[in-house]
Amino acid sequence: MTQHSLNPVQQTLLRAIQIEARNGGLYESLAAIFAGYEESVVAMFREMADEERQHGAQLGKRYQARFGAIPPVSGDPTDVIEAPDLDDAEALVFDSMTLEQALKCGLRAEEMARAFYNREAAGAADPDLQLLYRELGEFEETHVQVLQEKLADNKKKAASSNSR
Amino acid sequence: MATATQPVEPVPQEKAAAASKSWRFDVFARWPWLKRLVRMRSFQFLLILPNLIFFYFFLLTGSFGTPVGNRNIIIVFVWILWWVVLIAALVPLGSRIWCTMCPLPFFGDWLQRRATILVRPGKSPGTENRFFGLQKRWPKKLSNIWLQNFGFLFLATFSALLVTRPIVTVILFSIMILLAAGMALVYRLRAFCNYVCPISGFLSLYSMTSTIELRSADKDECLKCKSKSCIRGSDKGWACPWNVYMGKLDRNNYCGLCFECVKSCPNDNITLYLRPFATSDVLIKGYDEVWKASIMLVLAFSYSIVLLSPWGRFKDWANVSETHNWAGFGVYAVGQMLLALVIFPSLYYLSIRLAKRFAKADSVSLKELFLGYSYMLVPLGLLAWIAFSIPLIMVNGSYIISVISDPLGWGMDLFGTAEFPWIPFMPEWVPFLQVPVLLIGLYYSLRGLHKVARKFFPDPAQRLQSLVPPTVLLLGVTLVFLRLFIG
Repeated sequence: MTQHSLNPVQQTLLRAIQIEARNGGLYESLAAIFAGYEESVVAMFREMADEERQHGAQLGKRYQARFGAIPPVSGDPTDVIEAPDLDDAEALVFDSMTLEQALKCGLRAEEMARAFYNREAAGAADPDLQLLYRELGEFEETHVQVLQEKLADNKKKAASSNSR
Repeated sequence: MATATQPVEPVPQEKAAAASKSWRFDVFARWPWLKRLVRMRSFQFLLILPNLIFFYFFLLTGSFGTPVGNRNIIIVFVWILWWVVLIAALVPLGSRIWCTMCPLPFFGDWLQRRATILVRPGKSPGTENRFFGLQKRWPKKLSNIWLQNFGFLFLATFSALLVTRPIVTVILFSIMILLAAGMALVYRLRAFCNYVCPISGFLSLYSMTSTIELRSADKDECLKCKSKSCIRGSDKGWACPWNVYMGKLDRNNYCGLCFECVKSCPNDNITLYLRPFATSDVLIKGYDEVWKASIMLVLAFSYSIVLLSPWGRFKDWANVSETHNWAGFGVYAVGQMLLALVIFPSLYYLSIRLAKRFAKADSVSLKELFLGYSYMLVPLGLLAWIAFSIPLIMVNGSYIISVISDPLGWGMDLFGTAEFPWIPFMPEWVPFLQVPVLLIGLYYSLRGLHKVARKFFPDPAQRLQSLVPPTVLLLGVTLVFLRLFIG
């Protein structure tokens, strides 16, 4: 069974699973880049990598519940949709990467994914597909909220350590 | 089904950058043989090797040749020929291409890599390569170009000694080689080049104007790339020695054009672009870079006074090793430092305060405007240096012909040109070349300023008001240089 023989809902869900898996790899790579620089940044990127894999597993369960076994998928997704990346090409030159920036990097990726799925949901003609896009949008919304909480928590910690 | 091929919306900053991008010409796409050339593992070594041989030879001539500066090849070739070629051709046309072939970090690289050509896969921290040495992190507080700023200013203060005494040049370059090698054993990658080398500091600033850039061809490819081999390295190429991530690179400053990323990119996504002069990279990121721009502009002014002006007193003050006028040297040194570090930056700051006030710019902070508008000092600074260098080569260029035949000043005559007389080449034309060069600098500074202003002030009236004070400052600086060149 090829990916093309699947229905649009299956394809979309599979792609979302692929994206989470790829992003796990991207976060691992970002963590490796900062090894020996900011350990808090490395830890945060590793944590995000784990979370992405968990998200992938959750989506996998959804797929299995609806359609049975997940077909083998080769390669990475071709779309960008949700891909965390450094904001600054010279972050290592200036050794300027902070935990806050790492969180913002993740947040931006999740926000992009949320916006993408919401936009697709609004434009989808197929009701099943529309429903799935909505679900994925909500799924990303929870990730956005988690990261926003972490960011707020980090700001509080930074403020309290500055006031000491 | 709805496909997801549509890319995500870029953030506003990226949109602005994309909108303000000028034309670019993909050199590697047009001439693939050039890409094949830079992908050769031996490419950089083959460029460095001849320079290394010349450099070794110059160190010998500087150590054992005549102490008379204009009869020793190290002075004539380094401080006249190399300097003019570097500032007037290599930087504006080739960005940091000098760094590609610079022999100074060669031994450091070798100690760190234990290889001159081959690449070692491995797991040194942050990379997919194996490096030797302690691999420590360079101190965070020094991760900027302040050391380079002070280093260059210090050397410039003693430049009269440097450009007249061969042994002083030998000592300087020997220290730089040893320091680069020592730092490579302790710190990661090219810490010496990134943070200490005084030459690298101004190359970084002025490479912003260059007509070439090494960039990723498709930023989305980089976004999806899991290996990030450009910065982490691979079995095909070393981790970026300059610690730059190509996926978001948008200015030349810290790309040393080693082309390792061209070799290591698994997506074949790095390419070389030709672009217009001085209008592409306009982003100044930190105060260290603003002060670098100020130091360079002031030094171009100071050198023009000392070496080109009719006021011999300044030359005597600077040339303390011959005049022994320490009081005069003190005035010169302190004056130069004050001008570069305090007085000119204060004038610039004042112009920015006025710009903010004139434009009634509440939405833009003083810091943003101070950093953003400082690009205006870059093209004018570079062209002022080029204008200063014109008489250097036209008046003293004939020394090159004579020292080739007698590099050590020992009375040899290898090519029959040892007795070639000192003949200034059309010296009467010097001001006629300097003036247009300087005015070109002013033009590009104003263009750059306008480009930055568009980002801050979409409203043309507000933009225009904000441009008045810095434009007045630029005109004032240009008039001062014109007075020096043709007064």
